[in-house]
Amino acid sequence: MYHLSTQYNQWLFTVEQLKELRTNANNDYIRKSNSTNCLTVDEEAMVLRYYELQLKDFCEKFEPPMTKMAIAVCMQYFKRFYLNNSVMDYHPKDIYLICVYLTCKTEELRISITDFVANIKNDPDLDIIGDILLSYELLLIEKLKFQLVIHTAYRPFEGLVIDLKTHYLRDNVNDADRLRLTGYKFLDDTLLTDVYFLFPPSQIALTALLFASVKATVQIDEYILKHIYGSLESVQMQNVKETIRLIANAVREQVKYKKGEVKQVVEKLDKCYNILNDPRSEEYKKKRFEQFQIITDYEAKHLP
Amino acid sequence: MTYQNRPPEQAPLEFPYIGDVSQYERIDKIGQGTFGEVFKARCKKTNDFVAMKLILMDQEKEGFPITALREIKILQELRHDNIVRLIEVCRSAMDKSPRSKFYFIFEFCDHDLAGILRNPNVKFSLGHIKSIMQQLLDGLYFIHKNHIIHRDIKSANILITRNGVLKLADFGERDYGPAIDMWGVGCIFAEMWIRSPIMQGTSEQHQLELISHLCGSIEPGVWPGVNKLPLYTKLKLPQSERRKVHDRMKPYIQEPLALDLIDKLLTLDPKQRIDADNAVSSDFFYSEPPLADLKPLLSKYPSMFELKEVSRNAYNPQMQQQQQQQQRMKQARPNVPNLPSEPIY
Repeated sequence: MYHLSTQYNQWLFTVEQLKELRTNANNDYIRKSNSTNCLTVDEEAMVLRYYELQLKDFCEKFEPPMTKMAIAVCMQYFKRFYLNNSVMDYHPKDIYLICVYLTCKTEELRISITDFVANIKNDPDLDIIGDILLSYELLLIEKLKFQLVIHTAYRPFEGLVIDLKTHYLRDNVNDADRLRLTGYKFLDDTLLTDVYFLFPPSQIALTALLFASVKATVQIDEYILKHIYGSLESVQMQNVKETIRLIANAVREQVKYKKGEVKQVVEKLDKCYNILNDPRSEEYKKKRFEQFQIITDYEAKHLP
Repeated sequence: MTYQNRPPEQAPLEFPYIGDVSQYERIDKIGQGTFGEVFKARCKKTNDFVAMKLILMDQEKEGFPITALREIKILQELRHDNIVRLIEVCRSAMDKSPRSKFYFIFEFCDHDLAGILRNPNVKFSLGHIKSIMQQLLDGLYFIHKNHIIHRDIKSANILITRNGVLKLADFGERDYGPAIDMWGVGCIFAEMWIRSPIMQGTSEQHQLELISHLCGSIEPGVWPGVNKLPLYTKLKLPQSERRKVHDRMKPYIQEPLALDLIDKLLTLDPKQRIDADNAVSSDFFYSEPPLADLKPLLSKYPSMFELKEVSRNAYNPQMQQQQQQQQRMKQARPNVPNLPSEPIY
């Protein structure tokens, strides 16, 4: 299924391509902006990390509780959105929330917009935030290219654990549970990285399993050799091993930012972001009104 | 992007990831429901007919309708001969607007079962009924196996091509038990003979009364645990009703194996109700006469849709006469149904 998916066909990149896309998004905004104090690509990355953590925190406290899989889907919506768009063009403070709202729909958490908004604390526009978010929904869907199915690594990971349990740990269920918990922790840590843009979920899951076996000291070598590597030719095996190394590195070597610096950059963003795209601004309302005018004229002329 | 500033005549009609609905030409309205309107349309490029379903957005307080998202997801996951095929989702040319309209583009099917059943000229043989029921159950078996529930099985949602292939349409629900669909199949099965929907309640209370009158009282004796359902004590349920499925259906359905299957489908307790797998292996389908091809029967007729048949009948003096006659017959024999859509139970 994954190989037929849009995730495989449209959202898989090399490290260089990712860098180029993000640079393009940044440049495009700078070109059209009047601001003289725009963010750099690196500063955008800092802002994104800041809001990714907010997003994660929001999801983890969300009522009704979100599954790990839903949180992963949501994070990937957010990351996909900002692959082709600058944080200066669309402020992430709204986008991360509409990502969660859309995830609630696609991952079947039945929740009304009112109940959704009840999860938002400390927002200055609490009474209108529902409408603000909804005004972004179609934009988000469009920026995601209408491709809303995300394959996460949680399901293949669960498959590996079950497989392992039936073949090797039948008498030692505790070990399997320890593996599962440690592996989940690893998968949670992948969410802040770019691994879903770079590797298939099944290999991320395999990395999580190997990581967990080391961390939780559960011996699974025989299983890996026989059931995973057993059917591979040596070139393929080398590739898989290399992929595992890259995924593990990506998780281990995440950039750490200083809190003070991040705060400064987030404040800088508030001065240079595109007010035209913020539903709170008068400029936005004016633009919207003009659009309606154009559309109404268009409809009057073209619809029977 | 400078599109907003361009004169509307030059508005770009390109949607890189979603089709533009103007590539289809509307021909005729063929359906109307709470979900929105359905049109017959033609693809300008290929000349193929399609069905175009408008997704209503205007009254949505919750943004893009979750039912539409679900339906897309379900139809993308499920590909089966007896499930209607979603060709694509299209968008109207009003780009970047909250008023943008979205359309589902489906393969076109000439008839819906409700339309066929309302047309008194179409006479089904037992073999035809077997073919329809088997295809319906095949489709349901497939979706249930994939953990999808239809939840709105009714004859207007069952499409049939002029070649006699049945297609289930109008998905959009999850989180119910599959048994709910099997109840729907029981109702359709009866409708195949009676030619009008059975047990058409006007309210939940009325619905329960109709069900009790036909299937017997709803009580823990036949449905263990029903008394634990949240509304069980709050609703007035008819007491000491005898189950009359066989007796009431017998005048219309002479085939004993069909009666047996209806009885198993209209079982009150969802746990004891027959599932799609067992229903499709029932003796009914493996007894004489064999299944009959629907194509020779259906390809003779122009499109039959519930929407059309009901309005057509309303203006058809012959039909009205027929109805009046039936009205009189009904007075004489209370068990004869009124065509086209009067409830009989």
